[in-house]
Amino acid sequence: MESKELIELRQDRDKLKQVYEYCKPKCFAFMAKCFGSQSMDDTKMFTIFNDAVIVLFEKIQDPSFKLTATVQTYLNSVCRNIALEEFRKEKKLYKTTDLDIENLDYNNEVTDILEEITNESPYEKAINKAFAVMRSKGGNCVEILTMFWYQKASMEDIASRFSYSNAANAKNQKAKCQKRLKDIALQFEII
Amino acid sequence: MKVITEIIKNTYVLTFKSEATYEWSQIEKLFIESDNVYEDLTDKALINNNESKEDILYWQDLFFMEAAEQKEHMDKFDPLIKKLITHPLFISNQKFINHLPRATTLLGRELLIDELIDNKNADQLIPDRMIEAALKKKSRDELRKNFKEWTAENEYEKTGYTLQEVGNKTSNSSSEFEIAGISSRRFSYIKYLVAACFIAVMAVIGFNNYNNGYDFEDSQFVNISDKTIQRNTGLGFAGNKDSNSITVQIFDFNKAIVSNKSVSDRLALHSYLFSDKELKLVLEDSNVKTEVVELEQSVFYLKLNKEFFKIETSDDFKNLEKLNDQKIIEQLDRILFENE
Repeated sequence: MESKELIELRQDRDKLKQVYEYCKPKCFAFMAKCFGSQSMDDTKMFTIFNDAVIVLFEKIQDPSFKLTATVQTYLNSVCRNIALEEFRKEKKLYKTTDLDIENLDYNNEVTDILEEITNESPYEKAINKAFAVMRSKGGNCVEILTMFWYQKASMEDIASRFSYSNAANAKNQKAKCQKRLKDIALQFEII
Repeated sequence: MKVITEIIKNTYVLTFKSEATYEWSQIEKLFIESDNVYEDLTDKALINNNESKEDILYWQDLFFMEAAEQKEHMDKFDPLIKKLITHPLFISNQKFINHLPRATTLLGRELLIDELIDNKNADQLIPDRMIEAALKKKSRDELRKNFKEWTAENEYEKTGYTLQEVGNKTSNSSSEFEIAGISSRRFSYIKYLVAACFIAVMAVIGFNNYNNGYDFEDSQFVNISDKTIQRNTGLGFAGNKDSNSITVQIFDFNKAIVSNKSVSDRLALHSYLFSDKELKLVLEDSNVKTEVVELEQSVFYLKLNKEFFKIETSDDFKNLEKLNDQKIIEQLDRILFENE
């Protein structure tokens, strides 16, 4: 994939949505062919596909990331990697229904897999509890902060998403939300 | 120093929702060096808009949080900045900022997927089978809950009937008291009987659905057409006019499996179910030319594009087996040619 397309994918959420909708059925068909419907039901494939899209999203945030094949091939490969990891964890045997594996659309050289967020520190747990409290009370703070810190969105994107008049206002709102998050997190843990 | 001055002014506006004209450079110095910011600010009359102590402390913390985030834009060699970055409030806010990317990852992933799914298409993305399973579980859970409640009622009612005094008499004689309770034992048996019947009905329906495989009638993947049964006109069949046509239902397996993987658990590709009036086919795609030929009395063949398959009536789906007998193929082709 050309760098320009990757940049587009990184910056334009609608493009990512198109990729999601377009690639989903083909990833499902790929997984069904790879592992058979006995080994994998709809729910599992749905979860694995979503995880694969997250992997793609997180990879493209890195400007140095290069996609040497199509997005479909990449997603198929990641789906396969995640599925194999699941089978390994569950100590489950799987049956490949298609003997002609070489013709399936995936790339052996892609080893990317979803990075698990485990062993949260008490600090992180306190922050996540604070997020849960903020979420329960409604408002845009949770989305603003995740857009900024996870999605690396710009202030212009945030302003546009939440209809703030300009980026400066978005920045101010983000600062207030962040302070609020910290004040709530303080109640759960000494930070 | 300019960065800090911008931060102190902006955070003032954020805290007090208004602008002010203060000696900002002195205030920022005080923020960094003072042990009691509120006292020092008021003693030195650096603020004069009746700002509360609570708001001042909020403002100070907000200032250090912003400073921690913008540390990279500051002059590290500036003496005041050197003091800033060693201040306890700066250190604690920096620790908080440093944890935010990882702390927001799980939530960020969840919100990202929600956005990509964009619930408008939820009915396509949540497979019907999942919803079906969820509803079945819900109804079974409710039934179990009812069982528990009925059992609890039964236990209570075993201790005796509820008595109600009639008139002014206080005697315990049963003739003078109205028995308000009903016979709970008989009623509880009825409740269990109703529940058992319900389960039996659900089991029969479930079994029938499983036994009959996919519901062809309601499926979006089935192509239905009426076909005339082609016969050898020379033999003069005894069959009546009503048996001249047959409904052919072709299930598009490839399309269906993309939408619902569980299809392959219930239907086999290249299979058929044949009765006198109806032929159900499970094929890779429904865009195929079909003909049904009755070679002899009750001996039927199906032509799919250019191949022939013998088909027999049955109650279950059977595999399509390609006809290789050239003599029969020639006869079938002749029948079709003559009926064109």
